[in-house]
Amino acid sequence: MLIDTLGKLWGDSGFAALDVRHSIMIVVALVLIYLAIVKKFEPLLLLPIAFGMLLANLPITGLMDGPADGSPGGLLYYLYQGVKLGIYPSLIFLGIGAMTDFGPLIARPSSLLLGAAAQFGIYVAFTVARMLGFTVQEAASIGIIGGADGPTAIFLTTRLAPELLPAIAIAAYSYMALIPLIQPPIMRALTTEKERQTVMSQLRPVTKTEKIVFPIIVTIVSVLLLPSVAPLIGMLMLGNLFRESGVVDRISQTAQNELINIVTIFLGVTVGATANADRFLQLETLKIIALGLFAFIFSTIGGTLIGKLMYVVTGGKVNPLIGSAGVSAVPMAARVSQVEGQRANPKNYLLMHAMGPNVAGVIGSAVAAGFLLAMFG
Amino acid sequence: MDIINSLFTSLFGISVVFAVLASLILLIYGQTLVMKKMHPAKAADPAETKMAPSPAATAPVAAPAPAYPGKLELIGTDEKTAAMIMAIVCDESGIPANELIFKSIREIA
Repeated sequence: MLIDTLGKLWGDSGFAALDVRHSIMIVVALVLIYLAIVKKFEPLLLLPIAFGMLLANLPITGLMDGPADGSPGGLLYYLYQGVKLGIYPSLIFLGIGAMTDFGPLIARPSSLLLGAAAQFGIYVAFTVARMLGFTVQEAASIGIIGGADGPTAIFLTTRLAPELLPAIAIAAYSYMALIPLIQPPIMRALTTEKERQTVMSQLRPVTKTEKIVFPIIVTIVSVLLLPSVAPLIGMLMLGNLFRESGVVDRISQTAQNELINIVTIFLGVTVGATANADRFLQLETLKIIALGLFAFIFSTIGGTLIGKLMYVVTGGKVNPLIGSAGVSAVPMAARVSQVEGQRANPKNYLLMHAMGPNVAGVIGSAVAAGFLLAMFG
Repeated sequence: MDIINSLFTSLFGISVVFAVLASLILLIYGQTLVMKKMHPAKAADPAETKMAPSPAATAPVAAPAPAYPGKLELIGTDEKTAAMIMAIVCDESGIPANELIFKSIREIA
């Protein structure tokens, strides 16, 4: 009797159902947890993603199963609907908008060109992915990794190639964490010492009215030009209007703290939970990770080259190092510009100048995603 | 869709991004012009009127050393101290660093 009971318990347990593929995925999840906690690789998202991956690969939990045969469905299945329907990325953009100061961008509008140029990698990776045999939808989803914007990548991928979501999300966030390693060699290779030493003039002050009008104008123009960007740009600018209007401080604080934190948990855990062995342990995953790096590199190249062009056009008034900040990893890419600028000239303070292209990159990657969605959605 | 088409799509895609963001540049310039016309004094230099320097920064403002836009002149002050003074001024005045203009910082004692 006791033996039978123990046998049944064992048979019903996850251990009996655990196979090699599950075990590999659990190891991958543990490695990601290590990277998030010990190496601090984008821990705010990588940690929930990795734990979601761990949960989803523990067998027989049914966490991601939909309702069937009288069973109500798993917890993560319901939370995942926010990803599937594109709700979480848009809400995260609301929080980002509430946290973002567009002042440096308004003070130097030409920063937007750098934000546009740094989307170059998206299209290079798209073309290369097509050459490697990915479908247009898959190639577009892979390319968007080059935008260095996690929510945008997730938003586009759930619409175009949901089967690639775990690989793309993990690649996007991993490379964002590695920006301080990826960008500097490219920036140094493409610029001269003299260019890197350029000290930029202080930005003009931006009035409160300008900051209030900005999100309204951007929303109207961007959404009219490219309606598919409405969920991302609309939410980003709504969050920013909350911040700049100064009349809804409570809402602004909620958007940039509680709301974005709650949504980040749901988004991370459920995106990680989509990484089951069948989807993840494929050659395609390695290709996506390689293409993601490729996209990041070319985005950095695009931004830096336009930065160099602006250096020439302005007669040496723009430091080309701020161009690489056009990839939208805020504020890490701007910090890299600051560090590299100071390395060349200790009196160089590029951070505020780099924040312009950096926030322009957020708009740029959303526009790029809107274009790809309009083309292939 | 073949590779040539993919290349054209990419070219078109990056052009669209540039076009949308370039149109925003024009709009921001337009907005700035309108603001300057509506509030000429305000748009000229609101930060300077808002600036409430700490005692440490008062001296150079009262007796400004030759300064020119974009350069912060340090007179008898090392960069570390200057950075600390700027941070204190930002904190005390509650004005973000990007809205303050520091022309020079001079050691007075």
